[in-house]
Amino acid sequence: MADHNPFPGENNTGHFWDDNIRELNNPPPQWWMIALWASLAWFILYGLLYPMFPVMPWQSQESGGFTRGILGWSSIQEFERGMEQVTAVRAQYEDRIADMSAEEILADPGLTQYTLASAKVIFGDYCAACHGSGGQGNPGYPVLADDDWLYGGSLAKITETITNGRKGAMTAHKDILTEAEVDRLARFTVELADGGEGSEAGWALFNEKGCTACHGQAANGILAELPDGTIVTVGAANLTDSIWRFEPGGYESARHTILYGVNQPGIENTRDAVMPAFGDAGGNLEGKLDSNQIKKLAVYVHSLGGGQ
Amino acid sequence: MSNVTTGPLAAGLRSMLDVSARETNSAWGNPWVMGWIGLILVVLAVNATMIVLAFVTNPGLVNEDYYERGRNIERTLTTRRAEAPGWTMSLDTPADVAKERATTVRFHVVDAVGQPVRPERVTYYAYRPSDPSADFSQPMVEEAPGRYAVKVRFALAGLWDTLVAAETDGQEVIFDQRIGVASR
Repeated sequence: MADHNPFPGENNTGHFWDDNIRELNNPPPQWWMIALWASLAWFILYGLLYPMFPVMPWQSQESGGFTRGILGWSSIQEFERGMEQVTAVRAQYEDRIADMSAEEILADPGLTQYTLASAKVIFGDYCAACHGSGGQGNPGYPVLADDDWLYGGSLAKITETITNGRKGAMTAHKDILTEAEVDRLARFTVELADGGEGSEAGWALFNEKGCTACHGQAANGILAELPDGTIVTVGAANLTDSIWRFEPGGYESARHTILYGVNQPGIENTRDAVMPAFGDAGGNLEGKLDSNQIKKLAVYVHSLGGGQ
Repeated sequence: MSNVTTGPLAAGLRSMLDVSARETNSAWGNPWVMGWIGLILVVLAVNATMIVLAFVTNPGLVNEDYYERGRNIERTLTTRRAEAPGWTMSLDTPADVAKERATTVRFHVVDAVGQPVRPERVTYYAYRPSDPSADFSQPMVEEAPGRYAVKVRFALAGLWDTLVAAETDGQEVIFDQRIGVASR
């Protein structure tokens, strides 16, 4: 094939077709060669500087199953540095929050914004399961976004509730009251909840059976109002508004609560209404909140719409 | 190999390429005719593909007895109302739900007097109205009496019809909620 080369000195490979079509032996373009060598150099340099080759892949990363590179860079370190930066940015706020009361935080709009954003995550982790992702409540769990409070909606009361939890109590009346009395009281609460005045007989029974001891003289859940405006309650529901502590509310629901009470040990069908305590000042207990987190949560819950 | 050059196909090809063939008044030799036929074939092929796709990807959402169901709608609704256990239910989907982000959805259920209900099985269904291939369902896990949770991940942004089915004694109670999933 290449016995006779009709194009001597042309740098062809000696492969010819149809007399004059032939394969030349030209080098690749210079830019291409430069790119090739540059990529090779980059590959070697990168391999030297950064973790790259699995030398003993059966070993874990911690035991050095790969080349570590001269720079000693690792993605987890970069992540940790990033987290440190975030903490540093937050520190200026966190330090101030640590020294301030919840009231003082609320007085500072910038700090309030920071606290709300930060507390939203805590709320999602610890509170949303029962009280709803937006504090809108759920059947059996109180709404936090309205101004109807069982124990009070001041920052101090909210903090107290989160720290120590709440466990309301109402006596089961199934063995105390007659069927007719339970029926009359249940009707009475429905009358009040529907905005009515309540019948005279209803009020008489309400007073006579000692409901006032917890629900108050006016059946609004308030036992006393101190001169400084503080409201004293034992967590009994306000019966004069249309909000039911135990949905769906109404006659059957009220009757059930009167019969079986709330959180009564040994009583079957009693209402289960317990809020766990989240306070853990020492920060030693798992699943608990430190005082800063509780402070933030108090500001958050207070800002949901019903803070007093 | 002789039929390659003498077969009917070769004859057709030759007549198409051969300028003299046009003088014999054979329409096959006209590139316009071939072009038009090609165009028609393309349109038919696209139609055929679409029809096949329509059959293959049919979600089958139509009920077999849709006509009878339509006629019986009143009775169905009345029956459902009569059999409804009078539960109060709520489905809590966080407002910041976004696509490709794990979100915990919770379902609460209490009976007619407000006591927690513990159904045998609670299942969460998510329906994508426009694309049944994105539909999914997951069992919900009981966190507390009457409180069920599931961690879900929506593959697409936009409207979703979510539905919780609580099953007790063979009776299924359904609660639905239409939600909007953000793109990020």
